[in-house]
Amino acid sequence: MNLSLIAAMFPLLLKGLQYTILIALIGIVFGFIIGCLAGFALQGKNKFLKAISYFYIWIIRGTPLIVQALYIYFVLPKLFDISLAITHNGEILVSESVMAGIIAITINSGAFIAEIVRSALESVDKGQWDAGKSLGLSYTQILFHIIIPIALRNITPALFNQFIISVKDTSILTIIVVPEITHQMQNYAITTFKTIPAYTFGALFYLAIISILMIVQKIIERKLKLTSQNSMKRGNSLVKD
Amino acid sequence: MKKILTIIIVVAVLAIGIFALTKLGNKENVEATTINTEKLEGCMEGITLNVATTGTFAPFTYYDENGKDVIGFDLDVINELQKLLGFEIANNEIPAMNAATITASITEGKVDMGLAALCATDERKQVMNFSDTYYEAGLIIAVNKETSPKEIKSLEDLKSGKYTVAVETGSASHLYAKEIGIKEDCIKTYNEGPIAFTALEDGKVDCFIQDGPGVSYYLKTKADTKLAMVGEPFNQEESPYAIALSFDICKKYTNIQEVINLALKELTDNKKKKKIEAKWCK
Amino acid sequence: MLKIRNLSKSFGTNQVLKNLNLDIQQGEVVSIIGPSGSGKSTLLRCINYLEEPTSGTIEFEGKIIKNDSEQIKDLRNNVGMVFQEFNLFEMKNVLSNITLAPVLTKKMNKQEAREEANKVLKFVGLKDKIFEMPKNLSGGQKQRVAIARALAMQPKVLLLDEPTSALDPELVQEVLKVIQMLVKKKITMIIVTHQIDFAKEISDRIIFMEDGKIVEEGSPEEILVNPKKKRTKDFINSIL
Repeated sequence: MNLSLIAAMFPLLLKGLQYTILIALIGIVFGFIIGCLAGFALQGKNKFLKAISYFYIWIIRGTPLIVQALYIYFVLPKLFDISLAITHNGEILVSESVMAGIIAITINSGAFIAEIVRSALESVDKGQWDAGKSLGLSYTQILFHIIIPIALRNITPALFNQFIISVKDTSILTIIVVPEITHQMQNYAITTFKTIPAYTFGALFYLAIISILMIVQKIIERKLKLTSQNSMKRGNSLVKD
Repeated sequence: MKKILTIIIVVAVLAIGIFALTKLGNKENVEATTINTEKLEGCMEGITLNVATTGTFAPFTYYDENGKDVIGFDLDVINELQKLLGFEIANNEIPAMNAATITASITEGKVDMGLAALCATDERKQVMNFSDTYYEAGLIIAVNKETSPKEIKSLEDLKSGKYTVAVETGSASHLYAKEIGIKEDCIKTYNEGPIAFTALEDGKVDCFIQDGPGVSYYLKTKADTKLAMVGEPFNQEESPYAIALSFDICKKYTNIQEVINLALKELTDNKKKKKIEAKWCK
Repeated sequence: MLKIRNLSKSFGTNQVLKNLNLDIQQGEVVSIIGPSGSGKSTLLRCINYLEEPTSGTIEFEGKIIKNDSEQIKDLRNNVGMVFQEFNLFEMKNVLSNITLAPVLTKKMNKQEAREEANKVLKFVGLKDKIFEMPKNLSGGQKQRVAIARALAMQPKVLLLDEPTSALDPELVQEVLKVIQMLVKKKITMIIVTHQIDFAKEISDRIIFMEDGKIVEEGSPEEILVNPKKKRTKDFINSIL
């Protein structure tokens, strides 16, 4: 009896999955960029940049994602008198909802990634700084050539974690009419009145997707450990033979 | 060894999930009673009901200025019914939830009785019972005078697939929009009516289908609104407001539907209903 | 070459260096010995401005060093340092470790840097490890690479902060051998060490520090065999 429900819901959820993954992916990529900028600022010496980063992280961590999403969807366009949608020749390429969702996830994940980046930079052994300084390298040179390669390697697990969190966060975006998985699930449930079966299937769908992501994470982590154990011939060399 | 354990756990979780899917819908047997209707007044004394509303649909059910209490036509009707029939309201509280949640709750029997400008549509009748109609409504299209395309004049125009149509998730408008064939991509389902109204004011959608009384009230009371109604009210046959009663409560009290109907008739006969209408729906 | 006058350094309320005065001549090998916490490492770190002096002056080749990034960069181009914990760059192989600074500070172009790297690696006896990653090296090898890295900048002075303290005993010798070769090349060196015998062998001068002050200094014989001050005597006796 409920096999027909699964058959009917599955294509809808797949459609929702496209939006879920798209928004989470774009969100984490740009969130990473923002997070790195903020993380470097927090670690660095420029007091002004540090203050801006603190402020940004404080706001984002201090408000729920659903409030951020509603704010970006309703208030932001009015504030700057723009439409968030991307249109071309009258055709809507990216709707306001989806754009608001991408912005929300970007800003949200960026704040948490900033903390990940900051603590990764912080955790690098101070001796690396000493060695760099003693050789006459500048602060920026040490940061980019020595510290960041070490820190970046360390953050991969935390970064992937944040990606998984962002994938689940997209479910909030149903409130601003983004047709992602939860939205599809809700609409199906409400129009067929099959609430519990529909929500159960939706939950299992999420579980399956996240489980796949967790397996991918394990594979990536294992690959990283392998490359670090091998001798790197001529890797990282500034001098080409 | 660890791999085998993982596989076992995964299979177990999936199995439980599928089991839940298939086994749901079977409710335990309830003891059935009949309400003594010799005297209508106080005939439901000693019976406690879970009553819910939405608070998202003025003037029938909405939050007052302090934002604390839900008031409106429906709340007054509940009051009168309670005074007449004498039932208790669980926790002395009528929780407010959005249209999707209240429909689901009544379907699942978590809520016994719902009053929230609910339309007694055919689809809903498959999962819940309704009393007699206590208010005739109809659906109407609202547009934004500044941003909506001028071509939107009636329901037919919306079927073309060129315009985005907002509806409240789970409302009669939502189900109706799907029924008459408006394209999925064009239907934007907002969790609550007020959010959809705001979206239309901001020009984020081209139009909004909602119950007539709700739109009228909004237009009358919202200062500086850019919205207006177009076309004639439609779907009246499917938009009578009635009191929703869960299947479960009807199984428990086999004649509760009859009792509520008798009570509604009493309120009409003694002009109480007219008073409520005059108060809220001028 | 190096003139230190009235050098004091405090960390918060804790004064680690108290009005130090010290002269280092070119080509000298000076060993600094003393108990833990006497300020030996801090003295070294002030010389290449890894720590900023609280008061006093450091004069290098006639110029007093001010807290100016250009001056400090210049200073560090000429004063190299070898650390107790090696501090090799983890994500770079040996070659990159050695050539990074020469190339980035524009001291050399890539070709020159590569040649210099080959030279210094040959000197420390690790030419075959040129593409190895630091984590695959033994402690002694790491320290020799660290010395090579410092040498690649062609420094006029080399500071060595307890270069063998973090090594297993059997690996100490290979590093001491390299330091001896540096002595033969007449490179000016200041070494903080606990290896008293070694210090006796290679040093022109030994300085005994305690509690942020220089208690006594002199030739190896004077300090180790015939110390004048009681505290020096006590210290020597405690470690022999």
